[in-house]
Amino acid sequence: MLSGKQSWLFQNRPVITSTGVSVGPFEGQGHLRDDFDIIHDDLWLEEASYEKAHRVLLEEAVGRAIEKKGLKNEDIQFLFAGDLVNQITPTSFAARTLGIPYFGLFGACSTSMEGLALAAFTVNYQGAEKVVTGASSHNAVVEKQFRYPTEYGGQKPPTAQWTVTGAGAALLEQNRGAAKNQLVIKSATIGKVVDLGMKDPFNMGGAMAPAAAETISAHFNDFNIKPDYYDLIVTGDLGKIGQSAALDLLEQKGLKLKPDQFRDCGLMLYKDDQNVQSGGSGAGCSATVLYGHLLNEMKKGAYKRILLAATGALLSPLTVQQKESIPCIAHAVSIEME
Amino acid sequence: MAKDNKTQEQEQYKKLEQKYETKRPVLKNCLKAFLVGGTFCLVGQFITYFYIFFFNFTEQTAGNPTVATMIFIAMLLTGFGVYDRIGQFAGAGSAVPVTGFGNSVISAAIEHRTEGLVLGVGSNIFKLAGSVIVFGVFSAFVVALIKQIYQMIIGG
Amino acid sequence: MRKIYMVSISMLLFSILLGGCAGDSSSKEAIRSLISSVDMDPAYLGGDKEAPLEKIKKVVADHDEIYDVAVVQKGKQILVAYKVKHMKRFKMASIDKDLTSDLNKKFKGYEIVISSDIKIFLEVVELIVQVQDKGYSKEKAKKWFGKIMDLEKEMT
Repeated sequence: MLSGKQSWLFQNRPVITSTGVSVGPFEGQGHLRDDFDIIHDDLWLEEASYEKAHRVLLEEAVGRAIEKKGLKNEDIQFLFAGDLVNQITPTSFAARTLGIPYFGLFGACSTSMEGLALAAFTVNYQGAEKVVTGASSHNAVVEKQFRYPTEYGGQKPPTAQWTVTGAGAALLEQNRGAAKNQLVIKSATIGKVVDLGMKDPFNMGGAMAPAAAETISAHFNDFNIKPDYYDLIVTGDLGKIGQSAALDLLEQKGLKLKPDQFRDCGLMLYKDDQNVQSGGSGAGCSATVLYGHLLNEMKKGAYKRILLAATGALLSPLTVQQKESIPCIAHAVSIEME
Repeated sequence: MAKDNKTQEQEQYKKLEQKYETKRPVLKNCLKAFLVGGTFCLVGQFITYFYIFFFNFTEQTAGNPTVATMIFIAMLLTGFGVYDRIGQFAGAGSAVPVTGFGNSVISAAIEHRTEGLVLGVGSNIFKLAGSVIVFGVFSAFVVALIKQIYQMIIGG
Repeated sequence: MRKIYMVSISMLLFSILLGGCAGDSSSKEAIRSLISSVDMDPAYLGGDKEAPLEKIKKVVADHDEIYDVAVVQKGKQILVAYKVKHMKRFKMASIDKDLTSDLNKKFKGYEIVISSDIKIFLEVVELIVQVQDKGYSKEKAKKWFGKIMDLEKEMT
C-alpha cells in the first residue's frame, strides 16, 4: 500500500526465512567473519577469470539461501538481483545457472535494497510464494571497470573506498504467521536521484550522503514516525566521510539520531588495520552485512527494528571522464522482528 | 559538460562535506615519496655499479641494462601484488621512477589477460602508459621543432 | 600455489644472475676506488718518450672539484681518468672542458684523452696495479690500454 509520497507499507508482512552470504578472503579477515556462510581464501574462486568468480559468488549465496530451507531452485518463483558490472552480466549468468525467472536490477550499490523492496512488494501482493533477492560485487572486477588495474601502484586518497568481494541473498516467503520471532519486512521507501554536484569518483561517500539523508527523512515523513522508532538505522556504503555528512544533513532536516543508532555497513566490515581508507563499498557491501551480520544480530535479539538505507552512485567511467557530476540514489527498507 | 554554476543547495552541501573530508596528508606523503623514491634510486645505483664492475659497461652504457633490470624487478613485484601496496604507501615515490611506468604497463597486461592475448593484453597493455608515450613523443617533437627554428634564426 | 610457483622461479633467476658473476676477481684497489680515493701512481707503458706524468697528475688533482686521478701513458697517448666530487657533478661538462684546454695548453705534443667515467677509472686502476705490482708483460698491458681506449671512444 502506498504510504505518503514514496513509500510502501507491506500489510502482509513478507518474511525473510533464510539468507546466504559468500565472501572473498579480505572480507573473511574482517570483523564479521563469523556471520558469513562461505568464506573463500582466494579471489579467483578457482575460476578462470574474476568475472566468473563474481558469478560464482552470487550462485553460492543464492544456492545457500535456498538450501538452508531444504528447497530446490524450482520452488522459487522469481529472482531479483543485480551487480555493478557492465550490463550486469555476472548476475545474469548466475541466473542462467540457477534457472529461476529473473529480474535484473541496476541501482549501483543500492541494488540490494531495490531488490529487497521489489521482492517484498511482489510477495506482499501474492505475486509469488517464494522469491530470492540478492546483490553482489567483486573487488577486482569492479576496480577493473571503474578504476585502474588491480595491481597498478597508484595512490588512493583517504576518501576512497574498498569494493567488497561478496554476495548476499535472502529468501522471502508469504507470512503464514506460523512461527514466532520471524524477520518481517514492514515497509520500504524508494528514493529519488539526488545530485549535489560532487564530482570526485574517489569520494563516493561524500556524493551519496545527500541521497541517503533524503530517503531516510522521506521515510520518517511518509510514516510519520520518530527516529527512536528504530533501534538501528544503517546506511549502505557511505564510509567515514559520507556518514558524518549524512548525520549532519539529517539533523538539518530535523531528525536527530544518536551516533550509536546510526551506522554504516561499509564501516562495519573491515578492521582498522585492513587499510581500506574510508570504508567498504559496492553492491555486495550492504547485502553481505545485512543478510550476514545484521539479521543474525536481530535473531539474537540485539535489535528489534532496523532501517537499512542502501546508497548507490549512478556513475560510469565515461561520465567521470566527461566531467559530469555524480547522481546518487538511496532506497530504504525496514525490517522488524516479530 | 555539467553546469558549472552551482545552486545554493549544492554550495551549502559542498561546505558541509568539506568539513568531514579527510585531506591528503601532503607533507607526510612528500616525505614518504622522497624516502621510497630514494630507495629505488639507491637500488638502481647498486645495479649500475654491478654492471660497471662485473661487465664491460661504462657509466653511460650501464643505464640501459639497469633500467631493464629495474623494470624486471618491478614486474615481479607487480605480479606478486606487492607493488600496489608500495604505491599506496609511497605515492609518487614509486610512480615517478621507471618502475612506476613498468608497473602501469604490467598491471594492465595482467588485468586483461583473461580477454585473450591479442584483444586483451595486446590492446590494453598501454591503457595507462599509452598517454605517457603519446605526449612524451609529441612534446619531444615540439621541443625539437622549437630548437630547430631557434637555430635557423639565431644560427646557433 | 600460484604464488609459491612464481617465487621459486624468480629466486632461480636471481641466483643464476648473481652466480654468473661470482667468478670475477678484482684487485682491492679497484673495489676501494668505487667509494674512496686510491691515489694511484702514474704508469708508463713505453713507446714514445715518457711525459711528465706526475706533473699531469698534479695539474688535474689541483682542480678543486676533482678528488682522485689515475694517469697512464702509451706512446703519444695519455689517458687521464678522474673522479669528481659528488656535489660538483652537476658541473661535469664544464669541468671536462676546462681540463681538456688546461692539459692541452700545458703539455703540447701529446694526445691527451680525459674521462670521468667510473668504468674507465676502474680499468685504469686495474691496469696500473697489474703493471706495477705483478710484473705484467708490456705487450699485454699495451693491448689492455687499447681496449680501454676503445671503451672510451665507444661512449662518445
